[in-house]
Amino acid sequence: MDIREIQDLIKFVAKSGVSEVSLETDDFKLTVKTEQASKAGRETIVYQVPSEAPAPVVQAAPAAVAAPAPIAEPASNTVTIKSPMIGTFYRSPGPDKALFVNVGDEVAPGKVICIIEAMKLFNEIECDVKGRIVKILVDDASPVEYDQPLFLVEPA
Amino acid sequence: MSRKFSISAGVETLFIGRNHIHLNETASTNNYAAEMLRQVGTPEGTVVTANYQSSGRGQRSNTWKSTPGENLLCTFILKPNWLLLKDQFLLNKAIALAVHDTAEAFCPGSFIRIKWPNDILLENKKLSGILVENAVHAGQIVSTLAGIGFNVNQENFEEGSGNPVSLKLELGATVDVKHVLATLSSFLEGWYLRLKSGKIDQIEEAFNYALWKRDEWQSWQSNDRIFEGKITGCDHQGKLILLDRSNQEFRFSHGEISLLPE
Repeated sequence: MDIREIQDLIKFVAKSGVSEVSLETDDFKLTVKTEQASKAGRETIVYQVPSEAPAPVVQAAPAAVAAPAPIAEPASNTVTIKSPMIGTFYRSPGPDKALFVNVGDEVAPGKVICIIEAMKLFNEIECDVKGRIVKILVDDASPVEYDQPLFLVEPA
Repeated sequence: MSRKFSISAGVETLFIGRNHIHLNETASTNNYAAEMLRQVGTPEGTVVTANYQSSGRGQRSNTWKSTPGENLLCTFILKPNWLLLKDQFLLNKAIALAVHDTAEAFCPGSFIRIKWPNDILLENKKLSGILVENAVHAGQIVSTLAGIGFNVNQENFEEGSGNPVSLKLELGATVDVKHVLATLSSFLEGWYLRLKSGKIDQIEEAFNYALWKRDEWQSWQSNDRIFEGKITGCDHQGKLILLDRSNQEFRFSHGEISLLPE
């Protein structure tokens, strides 16, 4: 099998929608895995992260109880989405574009909820929990710190 | 909308630019690439090019205008999931260096510099702009769209489009846009792989060396303060490092400082 045929095979597999093709002859064995296959593999890794993620929330909840602040939301069953980086928080892809999310919107892992810009680099932050946005804690175009709470989400 | 799918001939790289999708027209190559990633999970190194972008984007509200077919309008899809979010400016440096080196390859001997944080200037005029967009999931970069607008053969620019220049204006000859793409792909792969293999010093050094106005005394303004300072470099996080006349060092984020007209 020459390089051209291998390239054709890769193209074929990519277009076909299957995730993996293995080909075995007398003198070689070839496996072509598509992005969907490795992506699925990665997502199982990513899914382990949310199992850790609720931990800070468990910590956050007693803090809220200790300080009887006038919080309208029942803090006990919400998940806080925090900023993964320092930058400027944006609620839409551009000044006259629709907001990524509003209070009351359903969200799921992979849904873009905001942009954080730092040094002209734009980071689309994807949600990592499934649920409903109950509060947006930061105003559009304001600076945010690392770990600053951005959204409260009621998990579904 | 015509769409071609090909493994580019003439691109001698391992993965950058080998999977090439060329569009006659699209709203923006970054948007198209983002949609492709969402729908089919495109392989790393894929490049989307267009003859024309109907709403080409610079940063946020800024637009990028280009005459059909004359320039290189492209988006490279990268998946630097090994790069920490706090180190993302290093990737910007790698991308800017690739564009810088491409310009230098076509215009050897011309004065080519990187205007912090990521414009490429040729003889002090804007040759290329970069728009980097990352998708971030669970605190980790999942994918990067490196959008690059590179003026190749455009000779007439709209009023008020800054101070642009193209390779053709500089060289006095038409340049094959495909050749520019192949050269850019090759340099991008080189800098990207240096970053991936941890050769950070090489990236920092080359970026600082290529910085526009480095080591030149200039008047700067930051908030209400106007001072004389000179650029000495750009740090790991992308902050511009300046020295003032009393030899004191200051670091600024993008938007915190501006150069006053001479």
